[in-house]
Amino acid sequence: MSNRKLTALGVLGLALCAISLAVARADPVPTARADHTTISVLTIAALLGVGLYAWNRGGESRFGQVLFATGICWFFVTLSNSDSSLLYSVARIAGWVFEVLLAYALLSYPSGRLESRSARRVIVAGALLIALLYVPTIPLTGQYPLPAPFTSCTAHCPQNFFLVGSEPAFLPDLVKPLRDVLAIAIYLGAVLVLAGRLRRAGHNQRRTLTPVLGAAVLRFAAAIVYVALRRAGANGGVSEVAVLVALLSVPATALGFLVGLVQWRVYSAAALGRLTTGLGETADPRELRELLASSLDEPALELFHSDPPGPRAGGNPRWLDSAGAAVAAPSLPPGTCLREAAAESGSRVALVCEEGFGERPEFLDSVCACALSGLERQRLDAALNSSLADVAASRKRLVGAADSARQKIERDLHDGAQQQLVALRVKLELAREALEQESAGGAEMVAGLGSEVEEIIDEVRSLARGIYPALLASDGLGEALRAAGQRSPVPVGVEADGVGRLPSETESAVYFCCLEALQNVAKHAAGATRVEIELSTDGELRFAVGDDGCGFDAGQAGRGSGITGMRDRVAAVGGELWVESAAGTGTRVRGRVPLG
Amino acid sequence: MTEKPGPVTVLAVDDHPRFLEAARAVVEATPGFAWAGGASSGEEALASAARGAPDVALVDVNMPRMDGFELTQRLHASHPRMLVALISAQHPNELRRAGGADDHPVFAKESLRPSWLRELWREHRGASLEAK
Repeated sequence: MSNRKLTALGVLGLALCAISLAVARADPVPTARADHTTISVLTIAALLGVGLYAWNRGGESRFGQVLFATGICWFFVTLSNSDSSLLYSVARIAGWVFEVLLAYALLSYPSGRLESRSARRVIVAGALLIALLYVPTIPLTGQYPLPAPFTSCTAHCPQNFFLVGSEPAFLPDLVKPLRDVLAIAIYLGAVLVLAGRLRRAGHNQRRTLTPVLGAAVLRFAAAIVYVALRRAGANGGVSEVAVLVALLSVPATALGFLVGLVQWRVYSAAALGRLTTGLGETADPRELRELLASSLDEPALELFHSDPPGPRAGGNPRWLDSAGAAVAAPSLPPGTCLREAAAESGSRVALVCEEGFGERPEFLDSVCACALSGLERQRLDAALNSSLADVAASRKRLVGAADSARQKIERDLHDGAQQQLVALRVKLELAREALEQESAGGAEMVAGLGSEVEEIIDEVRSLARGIYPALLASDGLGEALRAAGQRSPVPVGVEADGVGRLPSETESAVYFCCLEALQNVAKHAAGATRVEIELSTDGELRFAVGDDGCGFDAGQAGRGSGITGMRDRVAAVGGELWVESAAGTGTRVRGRVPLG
Repeated sequence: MTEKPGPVTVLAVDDHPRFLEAARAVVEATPGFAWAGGASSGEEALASAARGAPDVALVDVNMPRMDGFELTQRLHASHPRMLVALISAQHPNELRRAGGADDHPVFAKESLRPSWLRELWREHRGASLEAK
């Protein structure tokens, strides 16, 4: 409902209150009960206000319209506070209609529809009673029955404006007693319908039904007692207290509606709040069902879902319950209702919960939408995780393949060029010795060749080592780093107690990281006198390379690519790397790689 | 102990034939030493030693299946008097430790030459004489 319409209806309600009050003041009936006038005018405001409150909400708007109409009718009832015969007569007739409308509102709460056959029978019976035994008596009635709860006059009330001729005798002798008995019977029927409804309601429905049904029982009981007393004792038999209770029972129902509506609003907001808050933490449909059950305070609630149809799927969707078991269709135990929802992707949910929630389809739709989005998120999470795992595995494979290619190149160099050069070196020495006697110059030349070959041998060795150190493959990380440390210009200490052999991709990733760090020390860490390499294993491999050099401002990591390369290497085996440094305090490269 | 009659026999063990060829040339060029043969694997070397033990065995560290360290230990066990020298094409610093490189000195392959061979033999003979 738009704000403008809401405001217009609100203004209309206030205007009706003002008119009602003005009518009562302008033409006060003799022997008026002033307090009754005030109560009945305030009751207009109560019925219209609560009606608008419900009307303004999606799920209860029809009920709000019913209640608003009841309030308008009540406005006409309050005209009985006038001394005018016409207004008084109209008001007394409106009082009959009002009884039916209020009963309709009570029996149709909160949907605004009569859901059960027994409720419809009660309302039809009431309407027939008014149509057959009340309306036809309008031209025959001299004086409307007194005392009446909704009028402020107690005696000497205005005559019936619509009387034609005089009142026939059968009216007070036959019709009036008959219709009083029938009215009591219908009121009793309404009470029974409501009691049955309360008995069947689940604990969550009961929470919001109880105030309404309590007010309804009060209202009907007051009406029954009132009619019974009036019938039993004629004019003098009805005490002022009974009149007041019958009058007050009308605003009491408005209050009951308000409490019920607010309680439902509080319950549904809290339930949806808990649901949306917890939605992100559910990992699978089972946890989602538990979240739904606890959010709605409905332990028996069940959630079914079906995944979006795959490329080859056709026909009926396959339903899964929250435990993951396939079912032909969502099962519906007695006393439950079903609500389904589908997402654009084609995935669907079916919520099976206590029957009473069937009166709250808009609430169930919200719950279903939450459940759908939770399931969609879980599905996307799973897909994302699996592609992340794929990416990580493929990165690991790439690194592994690169490592074995390097090892192969290293072995090829070792077995090929290096061996041949060594053999050549040995033979050159022989040649030198053989030449020594005959040609000192020739021998010297061959000795020079021998030295050159030795230099080449050294170069090939360091090339092979740079590609993949043989020691890393044969003896592992600690020994390989120790050997690397011996070649470093800055003295290196290696602490690797208890670190045995690790997966080769882990060993090579950490080895090359530490080597890069050592090279950085030699290149950048001016004034460094010592480097410490620490390795330890404890479910994960932790490593650190620290120097006592000049350090650098970690905020402006100028040697980016080296560190980026180190990070990438370690990340490829699932690890992390940090560089800690500050000018003057040295640099420390730390990292960890999960094992196993 | 009396001087052993005849030349000092040398067996070389390496999976690289070119080095065996060079080793043979060095041994044959060294007076007082004789080539006992080349073996391309540890298994072959053990079989050859069983047929007739050489005085010296030059054993490459890096060989497939049985590596030089293992072969050295087995030769020591079966022929306690044999001089077994480990050689490698890698720098001794880069050799694996686990096999026991600390117990047996490893020589660079390219240092093989007649003078080195004679020196090695003299030291060994001196050490074994002292041991007596």
